[in-house]
Amino acid sequence: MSRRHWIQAWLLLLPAMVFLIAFTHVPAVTTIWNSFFSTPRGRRPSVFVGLDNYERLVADPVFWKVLGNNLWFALGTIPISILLAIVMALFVNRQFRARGLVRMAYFTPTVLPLIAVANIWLFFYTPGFGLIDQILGWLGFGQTNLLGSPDTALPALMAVTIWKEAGFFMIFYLAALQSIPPSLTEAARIEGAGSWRIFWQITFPLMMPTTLFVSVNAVINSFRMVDHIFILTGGGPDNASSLLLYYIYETSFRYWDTSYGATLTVVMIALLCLIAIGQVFFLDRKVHYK
Amino acid sequence: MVENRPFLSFVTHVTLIVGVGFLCFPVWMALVASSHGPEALSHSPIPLWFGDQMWQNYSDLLFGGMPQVGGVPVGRMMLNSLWMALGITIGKISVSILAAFAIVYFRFPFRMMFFWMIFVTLMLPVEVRILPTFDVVAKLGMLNTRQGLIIPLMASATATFLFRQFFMTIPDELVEAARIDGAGPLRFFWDILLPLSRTNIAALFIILFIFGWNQYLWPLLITADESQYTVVMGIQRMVNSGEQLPVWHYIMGTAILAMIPPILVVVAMQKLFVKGLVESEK
Repeated sequence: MSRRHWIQAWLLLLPAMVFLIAFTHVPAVTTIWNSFFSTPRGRRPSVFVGLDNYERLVADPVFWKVLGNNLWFALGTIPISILLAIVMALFVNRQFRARGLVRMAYFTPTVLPLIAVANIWLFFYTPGFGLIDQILGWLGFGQTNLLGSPDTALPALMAVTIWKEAGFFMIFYLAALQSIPPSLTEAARIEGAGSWRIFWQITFPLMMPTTLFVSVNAVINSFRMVDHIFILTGGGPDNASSLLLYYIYETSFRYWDTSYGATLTVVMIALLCLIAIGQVFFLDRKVHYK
Repeated sequence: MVENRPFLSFVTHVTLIVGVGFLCFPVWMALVASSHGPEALSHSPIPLWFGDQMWQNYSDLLFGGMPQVGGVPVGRMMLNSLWMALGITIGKISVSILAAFAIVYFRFPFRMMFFWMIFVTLMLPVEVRILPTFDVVAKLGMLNTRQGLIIPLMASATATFLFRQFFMTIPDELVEAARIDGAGPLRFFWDILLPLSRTNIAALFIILFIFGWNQYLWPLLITADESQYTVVMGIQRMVNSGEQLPVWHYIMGTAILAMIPPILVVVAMQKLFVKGLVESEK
């Protein structure tokens, strides 16, 4: 092609490249760079400190705590959300009256702003007159403080997350179910297989690519979703419900320890890259159904 | 799966209804709470049916100023949210479709390098890079401006990826036919590619609009001026308003107002929403 076409192509790419370089590439590189320097404070400029920030990270109990929380958060929300999503998708994939309405009710929580949702749940969790305490009181139990005690704060956040995410995953399972040829299940039925058997031997294996795709996205989301922490617990009590991104936010924008914030960000980017690489090299090769 | 077993069908229906109830109940509660005065919500039992303050509360919120958020009416915040969501959506779609067009239909030096530079950013959603991106925006002097709010969120590869996938399904014969008829690349883009992408653009529009509307962390960092608050930020401000007891009836009203646009969009365009979601996440 002629040179004129090269220039046209470059011009078409120009806006995307300018924005991406300015707001994604440059920031990513400067984060790594900054993580080797100290935070400038007052008159003291930032100086090169080598791996000091990383040594601090390894010795930082809060870092390990939030990383552990992230792990529990992922383990506690993802399997349940996926299970609920599959059940909901199987249900709304049948023919019945008001099907569209039920489907919509199932995925409505997904589109709501997490902050607004968290705030309704805060109303439920409020000690004393919140809905949960009212039901408990009605059943004869005493007051609870779900958000205020270290054992229950994180599970309380997980409940909100599951409520919001299950419908989101359901949409992908619904799409997967609809792409399975009905002739397969019909054939199985003629051969005398029951619904249970059909699910485990035909539907579930055929939905495997969706399950893998949804799981990877759910893991990434578990690092990204922190809005509800701002409303519900503020990471407390004693960091019991803080997650990595929330800790980054606190370190960088509340204590303005930007170098340490950069170091934490590097860890987070590295984790997400590992997940992405894992997805490309392991998962995609093992799934051949599509 | 049509089975004529009355018990099973009964269980199915109960499960469906319980599911719908569980998912919709919180929203219902918020709606009910927003229709009461402050007293009804600060002691048990919490009302489960509407009170008589609904219009009063909503007109207070939309047009009057809330002291907790610097006297800015929620109506103003919703406009701010709308501008932000529309800016992100329109900006991202225009930038992405041009980039995808160049990547798929042109052969030029460094094409693969550009391709990888765009797609490597798929792994870096804005939340992950808030701190460094904030630094860049601060250095460019875009803090507390609408550009600072919108442009960094426009920069992402997801939409480019979606358009690329779609363009690759368009048959080569169409491109050939256009070329034989003497259409240049821009003519081809404008007269053939853009009309063909209509549904994809609409689906993406919905997804991005909801994504933009629901943003919280980024606007929290960028906006300092209360008149620039988005409605999602407004809720958070009202909840954490220091020593005073939270004003639940107003908070719930604001939450409902913040939920209306996403719900409207989904109700009106359910099919496109699902299509957009399934395709843009692939």
